[in-house]
Amino acid sequence: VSDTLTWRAGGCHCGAVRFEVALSQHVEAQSCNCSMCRKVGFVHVIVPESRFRITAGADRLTEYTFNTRVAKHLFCSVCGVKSFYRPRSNPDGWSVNANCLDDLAGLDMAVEPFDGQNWEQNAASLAHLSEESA
Amino acid sequence: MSRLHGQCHCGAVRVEIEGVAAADLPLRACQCGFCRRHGAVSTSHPDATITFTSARLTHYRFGQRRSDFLICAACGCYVGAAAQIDGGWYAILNVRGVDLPGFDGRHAEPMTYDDETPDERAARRKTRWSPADLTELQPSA
Repeated sequence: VSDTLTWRAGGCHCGAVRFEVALSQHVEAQSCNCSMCRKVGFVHVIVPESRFRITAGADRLTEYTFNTRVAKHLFCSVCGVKSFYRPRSNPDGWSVNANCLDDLAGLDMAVEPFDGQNWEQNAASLAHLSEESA
Repeated sequence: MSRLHGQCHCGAVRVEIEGVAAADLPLRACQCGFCRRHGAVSTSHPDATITFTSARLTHYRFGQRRSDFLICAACGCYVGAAAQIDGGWYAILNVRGVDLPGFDGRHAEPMTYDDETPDERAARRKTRWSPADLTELQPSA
């Protein structure tokens, strides 16, 4: 069944930060053009709180905030990789970086552009991605 | 003289590449696990000079451990890499990480360097990387 969730692992480059995320076979991902995402090449997979867990290295994360300071940008203090963060669009969930998944095998991922340069007009379209299923 | 400026997201790290116009600079997409996770695309040219200005850089080494991958300690942006070869410094810039102007719409050539020996790697970098000014990066201690 295509909507069965499977826990998949990922992490930063040096191995200090590790996470797991529960994904269905079909994944809707976003490539954002805002000033932050452009610089770190982040490919967003946004999930509800219950579908994400940090398995190692929470103490190695550095937090960076700017502008409204709602988004909590988190990167590994050793290798700089941003594996996941709390997005401003979905502060009740997580955004995982598809580039940091160990294995994309079996995933049918569609990466759509997201116009984060006009964030206020577009953020609502992402809100449903962090809703817990009933 | 062409001179391009860039910086990390928070502005703590500033970079400059001087001597070659953007249109004549190559754009490379290294396929290694580090560059992929940082979404990095790189540029350098032996006729251009690269300067890093910062007091807040994290130096990260991996693999053959002969180059420093430079990351802003405040905002996490990977800005570029530097290596000391035969007494001189050579560097590349992460075009995305510093938002270097003049590369929009350009195709980045996929690159794989996995099979290089340390000597081959040093020779390639000396040929393709840019002479670099890392004066600001020397530890004060």
